[in-house]
Amino acid sequence: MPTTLPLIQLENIEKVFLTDEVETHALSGVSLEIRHGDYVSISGPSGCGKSTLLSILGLLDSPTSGKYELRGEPVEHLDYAARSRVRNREIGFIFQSFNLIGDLTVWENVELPLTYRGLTKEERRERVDEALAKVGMTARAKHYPAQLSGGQQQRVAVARALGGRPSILLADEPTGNLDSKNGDAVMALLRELHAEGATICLVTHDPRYSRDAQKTVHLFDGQIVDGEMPAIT
Amino acid sequence: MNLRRTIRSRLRSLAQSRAVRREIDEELRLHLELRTAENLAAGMSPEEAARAARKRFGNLQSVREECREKRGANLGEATLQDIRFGLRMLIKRPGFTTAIVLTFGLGIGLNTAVFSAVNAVLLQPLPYPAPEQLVQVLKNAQPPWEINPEMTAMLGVRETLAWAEENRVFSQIGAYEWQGANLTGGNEAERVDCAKVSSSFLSVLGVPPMLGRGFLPEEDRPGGPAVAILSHGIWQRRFGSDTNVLGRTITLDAKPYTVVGVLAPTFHFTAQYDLLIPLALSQGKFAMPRVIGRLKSGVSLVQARVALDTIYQRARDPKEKGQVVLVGMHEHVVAGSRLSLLIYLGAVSFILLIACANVANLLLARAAQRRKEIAVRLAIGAGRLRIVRQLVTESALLAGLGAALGLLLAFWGKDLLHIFIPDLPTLPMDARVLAFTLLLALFTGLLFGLAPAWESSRISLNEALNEDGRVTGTTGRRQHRLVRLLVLAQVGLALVLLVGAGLLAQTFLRLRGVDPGFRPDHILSMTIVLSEPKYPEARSRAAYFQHVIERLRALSGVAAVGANAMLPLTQFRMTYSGLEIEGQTAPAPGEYRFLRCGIVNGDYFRAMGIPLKKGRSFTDDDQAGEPEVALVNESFARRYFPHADPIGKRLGSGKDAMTIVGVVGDERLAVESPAEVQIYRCYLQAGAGVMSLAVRTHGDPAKLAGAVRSAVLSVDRDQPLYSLMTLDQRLADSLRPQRLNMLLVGTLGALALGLSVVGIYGVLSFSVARRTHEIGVRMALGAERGDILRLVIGEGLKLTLAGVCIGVFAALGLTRLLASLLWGVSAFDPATFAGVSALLIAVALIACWLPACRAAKVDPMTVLRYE
Ligand SMILES: Nc1ncnc2c1ncn2[C@@H]1O[C@H](COP(=O)(O)OP(=O)(O)O)[C@@H](O)[C@H]1O
Ligand SMILES: [Mg+2]
Repeated sequence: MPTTLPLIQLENIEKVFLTDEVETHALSGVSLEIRHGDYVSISGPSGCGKSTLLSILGLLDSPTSGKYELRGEPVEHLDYAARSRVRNREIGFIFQSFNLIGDLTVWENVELPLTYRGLTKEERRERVDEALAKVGMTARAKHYPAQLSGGQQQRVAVARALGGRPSILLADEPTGNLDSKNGDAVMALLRELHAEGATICLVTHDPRYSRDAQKTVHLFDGQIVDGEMPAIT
Repeated sequence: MNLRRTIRSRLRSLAQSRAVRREIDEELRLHLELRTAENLAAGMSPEEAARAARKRFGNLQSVREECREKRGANLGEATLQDIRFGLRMLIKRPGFTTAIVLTFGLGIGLNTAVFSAVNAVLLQPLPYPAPEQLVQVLKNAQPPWEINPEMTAMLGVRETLAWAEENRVFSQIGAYEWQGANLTGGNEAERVDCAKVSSSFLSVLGVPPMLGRGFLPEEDRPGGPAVAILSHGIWQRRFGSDTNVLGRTITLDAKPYTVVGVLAPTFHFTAQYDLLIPLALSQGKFAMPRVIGRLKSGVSLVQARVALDTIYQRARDPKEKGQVVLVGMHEHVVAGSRLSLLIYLGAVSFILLIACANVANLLLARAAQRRKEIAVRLAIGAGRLRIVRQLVTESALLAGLGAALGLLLAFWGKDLLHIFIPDLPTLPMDARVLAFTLLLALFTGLLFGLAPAWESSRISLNEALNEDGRVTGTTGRRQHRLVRLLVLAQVGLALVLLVGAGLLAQTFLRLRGVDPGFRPDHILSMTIVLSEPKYPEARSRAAYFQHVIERLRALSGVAAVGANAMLPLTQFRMTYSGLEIEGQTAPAPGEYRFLRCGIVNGDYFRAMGIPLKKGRSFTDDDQAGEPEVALVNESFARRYFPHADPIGKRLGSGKDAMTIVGVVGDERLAVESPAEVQIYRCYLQAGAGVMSLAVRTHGDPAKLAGAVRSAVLSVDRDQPLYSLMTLDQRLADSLRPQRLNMLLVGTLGALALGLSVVGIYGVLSFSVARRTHEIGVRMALGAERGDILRLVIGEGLKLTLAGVCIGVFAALGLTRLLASLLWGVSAFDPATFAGVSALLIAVALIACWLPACRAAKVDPMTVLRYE
């Protein structure tokens, strides 16, 4: 792959939320470059704009101003449907609250994003099986999320993100709802995936996990600051 | 790190328990307020009352701890508390309460109104002493009688007299016969309905007259004294409720009668009669009496039937065949209206079920909102039963309020029913109706309150208290299944009702679309029954009608005037049973060849718009004494002369034989029966005392009614005309039962459709609200708006389709009950089934659209914010 072209290029991103009379500047002047195979961690205190940045990266939301190029294509002004499509193909999400759908089995949960892409049943099966194998959840394919522990659910969520073979995995505090043992396991899984070549962008405020990343972005009050943040306990 | 997480989870549980504590505090405050109010009512000052109440409860903190024990307190007090608390909760949510009470009220009101009709018509015993002993004697005619339905069940004089003499099964037996008569004297001649009755008639029924006496046996003999008994109605109306009316003379058909009695206002027999006069049956005089009897105690209907049949078989005309049938008087009276009424009751009970499903859905949705509160109550020690009781009390209160509203609605609804069905008797709101309403409210309140209550009390504590959205969609899944089941049932029920309505509408429309063979528009019609004593001979009758027709013709705005003894849409029928037809073999002895015969006068065919197909019509040359002529209709020509020209053929034999001179188009005597084989004779040659006139007008015929009436009365002031109305009106009247069925069931069907749409809309809204997060997840994963629209609409559509399937099967089973009310359409008419299903699905799609749009607007960002 051409190393000159970054996967993601953010330039001077602003995000302003308007809620009755109050303007919240969630992000101001954020520029960021993510290359193929990067492992980027975003950290900072609560409310500093981490989730907002991730939602812009994941095309869940569009910036108020600034440029966003994905694979060299500007995407900041894509319409709703186009963003859905790009999201579906390029982005894999892992959430703090695993967000599995309770009415669907593990297998069906992993299959879900693939159905929005119009893959054939055969292709879907292949990918789902592969993703489940990768996170070690093949045995639980027929279970419902409620029958799994938190750590297992998060592994299924990772499989769901992987199934679409996305360009980048976005994880927003994936260990936030897990105890440390399960949290460690999920982080190990991400490390492994990165070693295999996956591009990962991780939001965390656990300095231990930040250390896995090659690059750490510190956010404070919506702006990228240099240097280590004081630990917040 | 761990610390931070712990703090966060602490904070979360704090937030939860704060909400819960608010709930409990609120409940305690309500109790406190209630207690204070009680104290106030007991005469304490406000401060005193509050202090005493607080003392009674101790401080709030310790009450909280005591809550548990208190809940086990005695049942009566607890129930009272439940009711009070329930009432306060309902008042606090006025929108929710109003929606449910209105829905319940509508369902219960409709059912109560229709039940009050069922009660008055079907369940009320007849207003006679020991009514169960009363029976109507009928005769079941066997072939060939069946081809002529109106002659079945007609009894003859022979058997009636034989029964009166020989029967051992009746304590009393009586006979009656309808007769119309012209009541004259006073300012205006009036057409009245008389019952000619045997002297035993009133004592069989067991209702003596209010004034005077019943008929004596010697008055019930041919040539006996002419006496009459007045109905209460005519006594009030025409005789000013004069108690000195006894002994007065009235004139019926120009014959004087002495008034000997007045009936009580409560007297009601199968039809409304104005007067009773003696029947005076005798051997050899023609009459077609109807017979009623009062069974001796201990004699069964079957025994009585056998006994009467034995007498009948001995006494009957040897040419006749038949069998005696006995029917309980009540059955005889209500048989005609039972099916319709029961169908209406069935239809409104469907509405109630559909309404109840909506109520249950609302309760379930609210139970889902209260899930956490209920979980906390359970967690702090409330028993499941206690929770169920609280919730059921609330729904029972709702049902109670609904029932009260329903009674109110039923009270108005009764008047509405009277508009729909004018011949309903007054509908008393008696104990039975009230009991019905109460039971209905209790039943529905329990049924549709218990299920949601039970469901809510079954929540898994662990799950409800620890819900934090790690898994989306499990919340209330079971409840949701119940809701969907209810909607399914709703759609099914609505479909059944709509199919019924569709079939009844088809029946009405097809009947209305029938070409009767004449043009009913712009025709004014009326009937004249000439008084026999005043017009004893054919000549004077002919002269009378000649004058009437001439005067009518002279009116401006009149296009043509004709008359027929057997005008379509009237009840008059003239029938030949064995007229010879040239070239046809005579029917075998005991067999009959029925032939309708119209006797027409003036420009009948032109006035009615019946085309002359062949030959000529009657002319002024067809006088009495001239060669007898007849017209035949096309059915006749087809049946008897399919290959030959009927013109010139002869009917009858000897010197009375008629020659067929023309063929006219078929006319239907009633819309629902096909045109019959028919001939026409001309009035001057056949003569008749009863004629119905048809006056074709240029403009609106109703506007000419006054002029027509005075023109007829100007010929003879004492000769009344009756049922003066347009032919369109008669047509509409003859279709009234079908129109009524269509309107009533159609209205209910529309209501059912509306309620089910609300149900579908509700379940989808609920579902979308429940799945907001899931939808957000799907969108984050790349679902487009179209995918989400499809998801929600698909869910609604699946429900609707399943409901439609169930409904179609149910309808296939149920519409056969309608079969006897249908005309020209099968109970399984595929077009109706398909059309109604399509309608339901289309409307359901519209109901799905709004929630689906709402779902498509879900912001996928919610996924990140969900904590
Ligand atoms: N939809 C929104 N509307 C208004 N304000 C928002 C919205 N989303 C985020 N914010 C605000 O933006 C800031 C950053 O939020 P967020 O990105 O969620 O922080 P973090 O994830 O770092 O805790 C916060 O002040 C938050 O209140
Ligand atoms: Mg965040």
